Amino acid sequence: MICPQCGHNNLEGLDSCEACFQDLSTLDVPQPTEGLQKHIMAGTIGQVEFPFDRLVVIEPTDSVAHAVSRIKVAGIGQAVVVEDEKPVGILTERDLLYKMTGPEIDLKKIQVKEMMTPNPDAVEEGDAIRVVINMMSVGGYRHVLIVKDGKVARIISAKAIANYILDTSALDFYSAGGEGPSKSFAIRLRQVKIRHLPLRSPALVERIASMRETIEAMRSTHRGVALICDHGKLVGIFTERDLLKKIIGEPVNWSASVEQFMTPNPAKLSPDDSIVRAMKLMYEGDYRNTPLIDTSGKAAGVVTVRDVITYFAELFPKEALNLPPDPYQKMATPDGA
Amino acid sequence: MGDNGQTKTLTLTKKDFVSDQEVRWCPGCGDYSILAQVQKVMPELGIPKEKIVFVSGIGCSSRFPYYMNTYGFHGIHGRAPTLATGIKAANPELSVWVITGDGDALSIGGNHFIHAIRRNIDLKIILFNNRIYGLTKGQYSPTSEFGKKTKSSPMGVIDYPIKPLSLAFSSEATFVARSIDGDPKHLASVIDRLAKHKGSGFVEVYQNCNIFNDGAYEYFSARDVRDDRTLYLEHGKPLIFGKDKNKGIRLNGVRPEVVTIGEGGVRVDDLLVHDETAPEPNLAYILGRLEYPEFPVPMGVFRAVQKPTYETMLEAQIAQDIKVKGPGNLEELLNSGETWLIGPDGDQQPAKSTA
Repeated sequence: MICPQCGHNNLEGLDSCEACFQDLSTLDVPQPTEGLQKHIMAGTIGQVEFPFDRLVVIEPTDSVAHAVSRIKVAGIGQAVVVEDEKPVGILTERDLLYKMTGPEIDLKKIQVKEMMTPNPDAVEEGDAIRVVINMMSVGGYRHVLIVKDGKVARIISAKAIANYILDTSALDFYSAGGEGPSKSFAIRLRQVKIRHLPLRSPALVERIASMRETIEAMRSTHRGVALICDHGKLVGIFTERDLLKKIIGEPVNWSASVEQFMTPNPAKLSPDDSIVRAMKLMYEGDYRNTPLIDTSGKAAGVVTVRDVITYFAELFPKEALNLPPDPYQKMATPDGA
Repeated sequence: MGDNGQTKTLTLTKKDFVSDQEVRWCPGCGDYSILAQVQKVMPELGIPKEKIVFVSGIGCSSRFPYYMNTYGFHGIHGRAPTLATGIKAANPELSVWVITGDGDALSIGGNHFIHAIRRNIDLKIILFNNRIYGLTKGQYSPTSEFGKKTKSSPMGVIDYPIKPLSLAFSSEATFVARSIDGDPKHLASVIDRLAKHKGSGFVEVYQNCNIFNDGAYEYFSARDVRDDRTLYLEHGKPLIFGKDKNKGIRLNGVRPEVVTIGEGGVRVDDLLVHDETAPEPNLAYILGRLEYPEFPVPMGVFRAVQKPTYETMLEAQIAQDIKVKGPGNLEELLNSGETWLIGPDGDQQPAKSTA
């Protein structure tokens, strides 16, 4: 550990410099340096633009049918459940995927509080980007609530965070006279391929499979998207959003084949395409999931916006992956020796 | 809501395993990643919380039981495997986990560690290896590298480090794996395998101490070099690694070597095929000792074999003895011989059985 005052090379973890007694205790915790590391540490949630997020607020005693219709009208995938102006839950497409067991369920008779995910985690606008990256990668969330004075203000999506990273990295890439570490990092980022991301195995379903089988495949693999194939060849995708828009609350027979409800010929990428290309496609097309195909057109996997966020968390383990539940916690008393 | 025929809920979620205790590791510590992945895997096992126990010794990692919303035991230094053995022997229904560190398990607790493993009692042992004593502020540990300068080795360590995997193999472990804090997906998969193993399972987790040994594993695990310097073990598959999946491990006699597929006539068929179920751990031992820069660092399950476990054999012996001798009576046993009654005048008389 180099002393910033006198340059003495100290043993790691010393509280003060052995040569000049300079306080070194603050050097132990990660500090913003440059490039993306600086952007995610010093950048705050308030600085992120929200191109696609609208807020739908419902109450715990509302019917799920009411909530679903409002979510559909807004064209989004979740609603925030509020009681006495405080967030008590979030009702997402994922909740519906797991908790709707069949078309016979009367959503008018089920209250939101029975299906929602209770006690959602929340951040404030002044929190650093890395805090949200941590929550999304470690907690597996695609949306995080932003509260102000305890009340729900906005909701931030994984896509918005991915866009922030893309934008700041582009700024570093094109910055004037930039030959420093920020630019070299931005260049290296462009060389990362999709197959280097922590991809998860996809839910693969043949086009003749029933709606019920497709939903079961998504549940058992914990995926929000199923790749619909014809003898292994990708012909479409079926996502949680399709489930919400076309199945939930609609008079649909779950024995019908998924082919009728899938999105045919989706935008596709190769595992050898760059991560930047995937992020751009997600941004421009407003996709959360992009299927991957090999050279013969066979389904080779799927890249999701969460995989992208998790990659960046792993890229900065100290700054973004390994945060305390209270990211700004300071111990009142020292622990241990 | 529950299973009322209309809707279905998942029984437990990750949040159910998060305790209300303030987590007191330093910000940036690799322990956070390990905690998060254990909490993620737990609900997927389908084991009720009241059937799970986390036992630890002393050290930073040993604070772990406080943060799990299960039963827990912050034990004495090095003795976590021993306490856990007692818990499992007394109540084999429990899922018993041991959380320990390189100092706790390999220094003061070395003996307890190897004997718990050789007994093949059904414990899930996770060793957080940060190659330093963190809680006591930076002295070298049994896994610190030769030559490393620390507070207790200002001129460099002159001990040769223990290799935890080698120790586990030679202690006859039935399940041996390795993962790293910075690769959460891999870590979760290894913890899941550990949870499902029946017998003494051992996982070494490379963990970064960002205060006293920062970047201990960056040389091979940093995100941009990881694919070229890590060998992910997959059962039944040839040992291939590298960003372009074009490098492999081949055995030349009993010596492993790195080869490039397609160069010098090397084909995939020439590569060593990983077999985690091999009856003898010889090949796993060779893999467990591969180190960067000569080799990529292997990650994953090295060995997973089945043997009767200690607690099932113990239960069988007790059942057999009850069958032969009856259920037994503790008071009778205590008075069954070598006991005396002291009379009012100090006379000693052999005590009679009260039964």
